[in-house]
Amino acid sequence: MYNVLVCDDEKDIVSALKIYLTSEGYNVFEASNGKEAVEVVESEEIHLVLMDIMMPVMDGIQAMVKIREKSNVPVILLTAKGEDTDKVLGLTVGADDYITKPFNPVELQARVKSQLRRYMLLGSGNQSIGKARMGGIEMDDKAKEVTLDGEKVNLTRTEYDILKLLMDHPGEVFSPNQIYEKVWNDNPFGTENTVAVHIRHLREKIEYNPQEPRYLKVVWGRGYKMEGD
Amino acid sequence: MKKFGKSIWVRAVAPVLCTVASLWLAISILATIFYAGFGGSENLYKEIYDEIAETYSIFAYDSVRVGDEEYLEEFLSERGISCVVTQQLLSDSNESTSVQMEKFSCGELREDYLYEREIVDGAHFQYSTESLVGILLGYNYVYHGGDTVYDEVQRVVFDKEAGIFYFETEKYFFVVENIIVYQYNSFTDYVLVNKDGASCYYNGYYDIKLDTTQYETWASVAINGMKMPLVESDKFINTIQVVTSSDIREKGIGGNVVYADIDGVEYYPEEYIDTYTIQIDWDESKALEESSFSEWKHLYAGIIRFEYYVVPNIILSFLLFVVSFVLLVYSANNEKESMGILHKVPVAIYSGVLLLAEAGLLVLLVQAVPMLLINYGIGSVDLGIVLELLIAGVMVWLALVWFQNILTRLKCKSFWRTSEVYYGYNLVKAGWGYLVKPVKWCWNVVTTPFRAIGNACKEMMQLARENTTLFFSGLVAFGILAFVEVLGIAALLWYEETLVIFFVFMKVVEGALLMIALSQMQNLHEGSKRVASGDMSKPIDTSKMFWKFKEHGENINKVSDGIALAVEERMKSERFKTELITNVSHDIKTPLTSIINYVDLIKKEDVQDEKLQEYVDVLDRQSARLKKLIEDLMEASKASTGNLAVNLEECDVDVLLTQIIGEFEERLAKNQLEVVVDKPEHPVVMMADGRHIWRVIDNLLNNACKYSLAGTRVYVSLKQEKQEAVIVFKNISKTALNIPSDELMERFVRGDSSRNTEGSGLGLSIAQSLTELMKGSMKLEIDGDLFKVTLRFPTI
Repeated sequence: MYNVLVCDDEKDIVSALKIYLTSEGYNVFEASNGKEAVEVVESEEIHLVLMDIMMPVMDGIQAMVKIREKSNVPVILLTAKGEDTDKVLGLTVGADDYITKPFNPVELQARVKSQLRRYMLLGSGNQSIGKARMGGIEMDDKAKEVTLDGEKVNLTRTEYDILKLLMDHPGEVFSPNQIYEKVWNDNPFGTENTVAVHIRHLREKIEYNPQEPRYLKVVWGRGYKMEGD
Repeated sequence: MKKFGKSIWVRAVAPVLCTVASLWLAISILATIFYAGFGGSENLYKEIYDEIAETYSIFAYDSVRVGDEEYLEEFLSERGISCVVTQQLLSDSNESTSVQMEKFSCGELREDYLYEREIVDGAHFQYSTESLVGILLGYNYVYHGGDTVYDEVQRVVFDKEAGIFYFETEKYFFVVENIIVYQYNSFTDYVLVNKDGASCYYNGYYDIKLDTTQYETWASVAINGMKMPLVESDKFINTIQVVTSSDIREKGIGGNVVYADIDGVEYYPEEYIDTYTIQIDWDESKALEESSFSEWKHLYAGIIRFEYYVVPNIILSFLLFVVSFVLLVYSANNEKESMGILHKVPVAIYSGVLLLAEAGLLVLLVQAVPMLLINYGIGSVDLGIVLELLIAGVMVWLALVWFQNILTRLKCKSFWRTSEVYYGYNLVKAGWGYLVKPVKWCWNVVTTPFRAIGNACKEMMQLARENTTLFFSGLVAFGILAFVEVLGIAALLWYEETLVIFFVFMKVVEGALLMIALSQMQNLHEGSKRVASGDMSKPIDTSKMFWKFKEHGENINKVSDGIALAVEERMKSERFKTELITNVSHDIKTPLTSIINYVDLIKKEDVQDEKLQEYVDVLDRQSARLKKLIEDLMEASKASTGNLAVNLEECDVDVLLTQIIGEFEERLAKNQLEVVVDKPEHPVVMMADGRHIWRVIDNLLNNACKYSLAGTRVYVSLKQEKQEAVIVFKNISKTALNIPSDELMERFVRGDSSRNTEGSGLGLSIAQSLTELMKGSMKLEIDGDLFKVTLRFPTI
């Protein structure tokens, strides 16, 4: 049973979040501004903080700094501000993830789960041998199995091969032609969009929000790459 | 399949066929004329035999005379000659002595082959059957014996009795062909002597005899272009020695003088002529195959056989010629596309080159090949004829190909366009600009000072008219200055040094005034330049300026202040607008989050009522749409104000299109749209921000999905044009686009009929703003139902 702190000045949002998180089996604490959030983190054993940025009394960024002074609990910022600069600011002061409003509840649940899992399990070093890992994605090459935050993902053979190629070279950009040559072992003439279509399917399976992928990223005009966060 | 006449094979075969036909026809006609000329094959046969008899008899006689019996025997037996009888007709009496070659027993002689001929006496000279006797010009050598023997000329002699010039070599005398005689007492001064003086040219008139006995009156004689005097003694080189006929004969016995048949003229003194009748008979069956007699016989036998087929030959070859010629004319192309390089070569150059080739072939035909065959005895007569026919064939073929080519040009109406005149006309047209430019420039340079003076006068007049005060103030100032200068000059009359002092003073004052004016002008210039370039931060310092300069500077400052104010207000309002939109969006987003979440929660509850279920679906759909609207609105506002970071990177458009179309494949297929991509072989790399370009094309393809007529195709083409990558999207609209394209780009404007579909209507506006942020351009065209977007980005 993990303790999650939800902090937003909008009561309705807090309630909605509480419903979602409780249904996932988390114990939810509430706060309506930054100051309250800092107090809760100090007094309770909190495993994850979900916090809005624009709040009265003390805003999310300030609260974030306060929390980071004492604890390295994962913090997911939750805000209506969608600009890149805001995201960068949030992440540099110590946030672990960033979700823009209006958010998709499923994505939110997945991100919470992913952060908790990393915070609670990864630190203890139970990384299994023979498994490649990138963020929440784990690949067991012997069993040909891929899990996302502990849940099995059903991939076709081609999707698996593409994922393996990209995971074996994290951060490296592969052009569609290179991927075709490596995975299909064939000349890529006349196969134009094949790779792009497979990548799209793959992204739908391993990303919570395929529009804004976290792992399998498109470098437009160059190719594709895998990146952990 | 191509039309029969237009096939390249027909075009190639037609001239060849026509060549064969025309050669065939020509031979047939020539053969007919040939028979007609000889009065039938019988006469021809006799003619040939006469020819052969003559050749053989001379040969036989010469051999006997020289005494080369062994050679003669071989010669005669090779040719199957069984009998030679010579009879000498003495010139002074009518008696005749008959001499029969002892070696050859004679049977009955065939009348046909009796051959009578005048022949020169062989006692003192040799009659050469080899026709080539000549001089190597400039080198004193005589060549004879088929130009294989060279004899050095020891001296040139003149037989004053016979009137003949000779080259004297160690053993022989050779008759000189061409002589020019220069006389003292003649205006024209020269006579061309052709041989012994019997036939000559004089003063351009033919056959006027030169009296060779009057040689003392000759100034000099030119032999092969070298002028030499005639002398009686032989002490000098480069002289012609005058001798007597007996001197010539004394040199030796048995053919010391070579007389030859040069260009059909026989050179020998009249008194040498004796007449013989030579009778010769031969047995054809004994002749060797390779002897010329056999060859000729063989050839003529062929021609004679041909006689019977002359008429069908002419008819057939004529028919073939007509058919192939019609085919040739027909096959000359009239399709412009198939015109090859040969049809574009200028007409006269093409014709000239072909004419040269024809001339070369003609030389080969009439000169080189016959010479080669005769002189070196290469091959046989048959081979010669085949070779000649081949050359003639090539000539005809070349002419026909030329004809075909010209015909093609005429049919394609490009004769004029491929002529030199047209090419030249174009060249001159192109060159005209370059020709005219310098002339114009020179004219401008020359007239500039006059125009300047004219303008100055005009401006002065205008000033006087419009601002009389200023004009007169200037005039007065100028007058005072001039007056002071006059005073100074007057001072010179008293004392010379005053001029120097005065001059220095005046110039210092003038110089200072000029410098001040210049510096203030420069300040004004720089200040106005700053304003023009949009820099309002530094006004012009007018504190040290005076008079009109100060006024002007202050005016510029006022303008600059005004502009600065306007710009600042504009910026403020723009900033305010963006901020407003951003803030409002934030404020809308918070309640929207609640709406979306609670709708989602309701959906998760087990709603039994179908109506409620339906309402929730509406809420879900509309809240999602509201979310999209707000996001688009923010993005449009940021993109149009340039409030976005742009990281330009190298972007391979080929890969980009592949990626994006891959992303869209399923959506397009769902809307029954087919994508047709057309891109170049080579990669096109441009500078763009990957995320922004994705948004641009994402919006465009989204539109294509939403608004395209199902079952049509979406065309995506990529081209490189100079320094630009050009990406074009084309699709067919589902509904009539009844608004102009520029209006379509404006925010919130969409074709009325499509108002109620998904989307915010901001897609095109966002795409355009983003494209411009990346230094590209986007153009929209509507042609009926065709919707076309052209993106242009700079490439590297």
